[in-house]
Amino acid sequence: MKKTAIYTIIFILLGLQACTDVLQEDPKSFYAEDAIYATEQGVETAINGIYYSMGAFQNYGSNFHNLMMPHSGLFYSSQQASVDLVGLNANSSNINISSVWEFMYKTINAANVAISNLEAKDESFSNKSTALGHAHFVRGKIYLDLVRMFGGVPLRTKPIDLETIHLARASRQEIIDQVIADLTIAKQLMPGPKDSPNGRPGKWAAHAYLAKLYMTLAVEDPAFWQKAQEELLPIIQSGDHKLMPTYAEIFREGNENLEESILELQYGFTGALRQSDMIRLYTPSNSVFAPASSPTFGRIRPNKEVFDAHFKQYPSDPRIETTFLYNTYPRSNGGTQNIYPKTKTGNNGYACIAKWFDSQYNGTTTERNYIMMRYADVLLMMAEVTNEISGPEEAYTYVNAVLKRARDTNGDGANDAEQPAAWSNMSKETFRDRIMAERRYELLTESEDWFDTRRRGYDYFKAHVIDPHNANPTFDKSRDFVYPDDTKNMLLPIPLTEISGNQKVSAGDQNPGY
Amino acid sequence: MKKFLSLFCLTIGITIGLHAQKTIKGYVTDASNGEALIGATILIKETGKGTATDIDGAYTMEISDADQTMIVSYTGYQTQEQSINGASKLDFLLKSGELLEEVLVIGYGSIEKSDKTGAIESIKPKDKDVLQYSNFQDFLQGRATGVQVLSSGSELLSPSSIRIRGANSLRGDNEPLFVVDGIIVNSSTEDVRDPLQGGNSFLSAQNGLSGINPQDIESIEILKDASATAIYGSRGANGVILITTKKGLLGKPQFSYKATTRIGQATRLYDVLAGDQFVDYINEYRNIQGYTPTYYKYEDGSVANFNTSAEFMESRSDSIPRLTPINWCEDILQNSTSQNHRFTVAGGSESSRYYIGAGYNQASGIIPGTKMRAGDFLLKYDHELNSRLTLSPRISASYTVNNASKGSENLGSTNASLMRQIVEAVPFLGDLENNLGLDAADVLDGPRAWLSDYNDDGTEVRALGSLTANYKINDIFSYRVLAGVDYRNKERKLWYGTSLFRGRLANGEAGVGTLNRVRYNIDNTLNFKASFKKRHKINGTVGFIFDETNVQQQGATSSNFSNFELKYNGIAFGQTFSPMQLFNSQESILSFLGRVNYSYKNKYLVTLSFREDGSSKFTNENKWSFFPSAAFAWKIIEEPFMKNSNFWSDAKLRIGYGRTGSQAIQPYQTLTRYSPTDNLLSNGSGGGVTAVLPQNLGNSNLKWETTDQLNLGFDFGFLKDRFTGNIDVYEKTTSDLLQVLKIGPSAGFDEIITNAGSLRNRGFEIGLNTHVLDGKFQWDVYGTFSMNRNQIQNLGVPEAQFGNELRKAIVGDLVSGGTIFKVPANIFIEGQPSALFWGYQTNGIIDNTEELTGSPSVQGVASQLGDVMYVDQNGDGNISDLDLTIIGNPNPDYTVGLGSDFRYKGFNVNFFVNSIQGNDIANGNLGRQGLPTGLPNNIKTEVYEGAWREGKTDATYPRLGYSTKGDFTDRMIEDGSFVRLSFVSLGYTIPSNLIKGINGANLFVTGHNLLLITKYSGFDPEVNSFSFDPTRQGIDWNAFPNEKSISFGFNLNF
Repeated sequence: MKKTAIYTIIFILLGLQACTDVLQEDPKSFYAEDAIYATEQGVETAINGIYYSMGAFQNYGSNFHNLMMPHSGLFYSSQQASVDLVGLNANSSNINISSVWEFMYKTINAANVAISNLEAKDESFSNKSTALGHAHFVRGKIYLDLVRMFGGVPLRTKPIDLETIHLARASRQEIIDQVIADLTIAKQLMPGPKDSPNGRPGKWAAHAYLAKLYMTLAVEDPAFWQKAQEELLPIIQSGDHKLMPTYAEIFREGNENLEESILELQYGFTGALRQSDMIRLYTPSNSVFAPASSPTFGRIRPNKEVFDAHFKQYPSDPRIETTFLYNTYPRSNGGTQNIYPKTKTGNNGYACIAKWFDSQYNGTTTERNYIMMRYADVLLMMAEVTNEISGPEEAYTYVNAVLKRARDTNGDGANDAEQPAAWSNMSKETFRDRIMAERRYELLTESEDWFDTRRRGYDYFKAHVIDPHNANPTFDKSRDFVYPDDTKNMLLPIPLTEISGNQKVSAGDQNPGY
Repeated sequence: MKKFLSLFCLTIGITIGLHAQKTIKGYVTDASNGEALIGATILIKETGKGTATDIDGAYTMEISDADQTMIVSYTGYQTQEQSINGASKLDFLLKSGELLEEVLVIGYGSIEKSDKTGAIESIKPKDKDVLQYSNFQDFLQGRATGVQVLSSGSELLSPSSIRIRGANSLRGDNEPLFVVDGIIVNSSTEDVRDPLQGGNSFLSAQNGLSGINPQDIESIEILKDASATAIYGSRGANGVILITTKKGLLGKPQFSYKATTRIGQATRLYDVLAGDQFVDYINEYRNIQGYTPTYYKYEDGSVANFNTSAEFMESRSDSIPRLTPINWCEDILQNSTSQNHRFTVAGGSESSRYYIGAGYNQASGIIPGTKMRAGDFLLKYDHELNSRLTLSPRISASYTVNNASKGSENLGSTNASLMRQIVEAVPFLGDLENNLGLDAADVLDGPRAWLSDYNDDGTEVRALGSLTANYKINDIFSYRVLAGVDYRNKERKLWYGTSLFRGRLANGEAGVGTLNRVRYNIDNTLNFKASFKKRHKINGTVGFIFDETNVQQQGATSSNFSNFELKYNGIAFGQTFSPMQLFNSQESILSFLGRVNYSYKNKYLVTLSFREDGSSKFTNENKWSFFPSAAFAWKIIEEPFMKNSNFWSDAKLRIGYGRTGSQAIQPYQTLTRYSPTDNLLSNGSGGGVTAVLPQNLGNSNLKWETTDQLNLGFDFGFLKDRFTGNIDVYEKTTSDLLQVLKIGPSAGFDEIITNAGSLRNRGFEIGLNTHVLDGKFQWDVYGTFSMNRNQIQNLGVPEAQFGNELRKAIVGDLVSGGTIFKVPANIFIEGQPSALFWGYQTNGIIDNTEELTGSPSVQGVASQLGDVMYVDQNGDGNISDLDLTIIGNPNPDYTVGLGSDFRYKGFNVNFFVNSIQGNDIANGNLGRQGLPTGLPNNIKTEVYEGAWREGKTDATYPRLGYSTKGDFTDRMIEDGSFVRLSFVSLGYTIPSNLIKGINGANLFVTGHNLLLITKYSGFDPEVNSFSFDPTRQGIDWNAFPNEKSISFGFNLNF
């Protein structure tokens, strides 16, 4: 029995010896949060992650287009999943709404993590303030879009943890305050555009989006026109950004991150995952504009009245050729496809957007960036703001700069086309109407379309989007949707996924009309 | 048993005079049922001479000395030694198993079968049965009570999921733990990571329990109740399946060779429209819509694409090319074949035993090009180094090469999968719709494209090895150490060529995924066994166990090829790359365990056990958990009032209670993980820079899921064990359910893994065995009956609007990533059975204007004549999410298995029938094949024929042109009950004296799946396309057809 006792003891000791360290998890092929923020290089990869997330497929890379273009009332989409959006009858379970919402918040969470980690760092991190600036900028820009799309939304400014999973909608004002706070910090901390590597935006982007917010608010409180102007003026005075000599070269393949560009989402042949789907969404199918081996869908098409309005206003505007593909296009197999206005019915009863072609498109990725903010937009904003504050006289100079460039087809500074002619002798009201239309001619599909249709209120939306659509002479009864006269369309519905998953947001918190 | 023992003594007691020389003869029979043992080995110990028994179990042999000793052995039976003592006739009654009593393998030890206290089922597969199955999981269907085998499909290497007594968990793994000869094998859901990403790529799982050849299995023990499984602690909650492989036997080498050939064909294919019917369908639809027809049918029945006008078509009749109709099923599907060879040799001396098995299988499936080849071997060796120390190394390895086709697929479109396209493609050769709108000359024509432009080729190496040392310290204590390793290396290489939609988008896409996994466990156990005063018997085990798993998964993808010939092997020739993915993970469990079995007067039995588990997956606060159990059994048969009963031969009551756990989540879930993005971020001039993002929301509060189970059982035998059986009832409650809860995506993530809620399973099981006839005609019948009811007790979520009511509920994952069936099919509601079907109730077709008046609009669109009539649950006149309701239940009412074995002389006939009753199936395929949408894809014939038309009042299907937004309605719910004749087999045993040198030979012919009785309209009711995903249950989504087959085989012993 003695022996037995000894064996038993040895046995137990062997057991205990093993138990100390083996049960701790030691991650190998990923990082824990503190490891990322331990080095300056790590911080850069985290900021890259924020911009990547912003440009992801489910975010501005594709689903934003699928959601915002048709629902703006300016575009038709042949995608089955967008039918409710095309008919301005958005469904809260629409996949585009839920993915854009989810990925906007994913981006916000990544920014929150960066901000909370960076704030704890000492100044020995040479990229601390720049990185903070970028994180605040992206968070501010996304909250700006969220508040414009949905009104008040859950306000998250700290990294997500178990206690904050469920969070009620904040008021619209709280989100606005957050946008102001974030973009104000961003404009102080971000470097100028020339000091921003990797295609990241410079501080003027923060100014420009702050101006966007103020212009949205100014429709209710005119005092904000002034604040918007204060944000825009320094951009112009700095001389950091300039209009390119011609309109066409902005969208020419191979041109990217031009001097005119203020915020551009960066894409390249950097992986095999679909990230930007713009080429596929806008380039018509079986056309010569993309390699035959890389099929495109051309799902998002400008509405008939949108094309007609530009054509009617400025029949010889060189921008039309850059913006639209119309009448016919050459098919990849040698034939010709008729489209609007040559044919007026069916899927091809719409023109196409020609800004985003890519002859190198490989079916998965593209090198084409998405231009979301450029200097021409700043000038048009400045023109609009100045007209509101002090009338058209002082405002002409900004809009005419854009128009002059539009007329120039070879970049020699001379007028090559008659139209769009310089503006003069307008009333304040005419100027206001014309500048809103001018934004469409200049900036169609460049990310602000939906916002521009909504920010001047429902009456504007009805008069300039719904009515012209329903009354357009080439309206195709068999396919075109009759747009409803419904104020719910001023906002999008909170996605069903949020209402069912967030215990503090219930069906009663849904936006009115949904 | 005792009776047989005395009989045995009597037999050997008969001694007849002393003769110097001559002949000895006798019979060798099975002690338990008197069955003749054919081919049993008779050896004379002194001379090494031997013979074998014949067809009647008889032997005759010359002996030189009447004092010699005979050794009689037979595979699977206890070897007997008997000195002749001058006898001229000696009969042997061999008992199965190695020891005197039949032994039951239990966790970390074994007990005598009559001493079991828990719900443990032991199956000793017979060669002739096991030969009919290619994997041991399918063999279990219907054979063990409380065990349900769910098949994901019928492709080669399709995995089967096993549920023991219902599903415990709403998430993660409901698979039992598998232990093969002491080596932990829990890889049923393991596979390579899908290297292709985006576009909702879906790589269907393959069988994760490779490398276990059913023919090597000696016994399968299924531990079902907590008193049996608590010794496995945190991995016992789903039950434990212990597999013991064969081992060597004393005596000269016994060789055996088995070969089987099987040929099969797809069965239960259903009708879709043939060429000219399809023309009628599309043209009728287009006529209704006011469109020009797509096809033109000539008087002679030939068909052409319509152009311009009927006059035009007729006037140019001679020059217009005709379309060739095709039945894609006939075009693509072929007969399947398989071959199976196995060679074993077993033998041993006093101090060492060996068993060696080696085999080769090959099979080609019903899809051309699908092929599986596998080779494996098993070596088991036991060696007594001295009277105290025994060493037992064991190693097995297998190598599998598999060429798969595209079966299960979670996208919705016709051209996302081969099987779906075979059914749904336009039934004409070269049709644009089948070919991505391209000229068929440029692509490979519809389903045919899948044969040459899709590859999913895998190789797998798997090795299971262990070394066991048993040291007998003294008569009471022995110490055992077992080191077991399960190594698995698997690779799957994928290719989508440009004829396929996915490959066309990417201009060729190649992916390679690998899995490299090592798991090992080291068991240290101290066993003791003692008895006092003959009344008290005690035995037990204490031990500590360490278990670690290291997994490395890699994935590489490239696309955009300029030449395609090399397919996936040319992955380096792609022009677009994603960064290589590399995932490492490690998990470990450290455990202390103990068990005591005590019996008093061999009447009252008590078992107590515990296990303390520590897991690396949880934070320090939740790392350790304790799993105790207790069981009591009363052998009523040993009581005086029963002992002399002529009727009862066995009666035992069992009651057990215990707690087990589950930690079936991936490692690192308590941490928030940062990984690089799938693509690099472009740096503004086309280059890439690294970008990292948080991947999940870590939950540091995660803890064990625990299951408490109470089991009551009764074992019985009547009429000298002519009828034996057992009845068990149980109730188990799982709390702190590991769940993936959907959260508002504003959290930055749309889900979190957490513990919430509880689930209850209750059930009832009966197993029966009878020897109906004994003697020359022998007939055995065995059967099982199991029923399980589950109910969600609590979900840990607040009440919310689900359909027309406020409920505490969560819905499952979306079934499909495409447009059809892109909704959750299952709902989990407090107070209800789990995984109910959740969709719209319907009420036939809107036949007339009267019905139309009362019909609601659907998602805001007014209904019209010929639409499906939805039931407006909330009466608001519109069908929306608020009208969703419970429309079915995928949980079966009961399952039954029935087997019969009839023997006469050398012949035997056996068959096995299994049945599942009362479950619903969500037949997702009807979302496309069951609606006459007018889209250019094929539909079921009855859908076109039964479609509503003007004036028709008994339409069973909606009007031509009707479509939904992909709604899940009760029109897709079908009764999944079935009765299947799994196999019927006729065998003949050739007498051993017929061929010299052959100890025994069997021949058999078997028909598999010859009869299936079911109302289900899909390929096969035994289907669960997402069997490993508890949130998508009972769904047939693009399943593979089953096969009907015939096999021939033989078995030689020499």
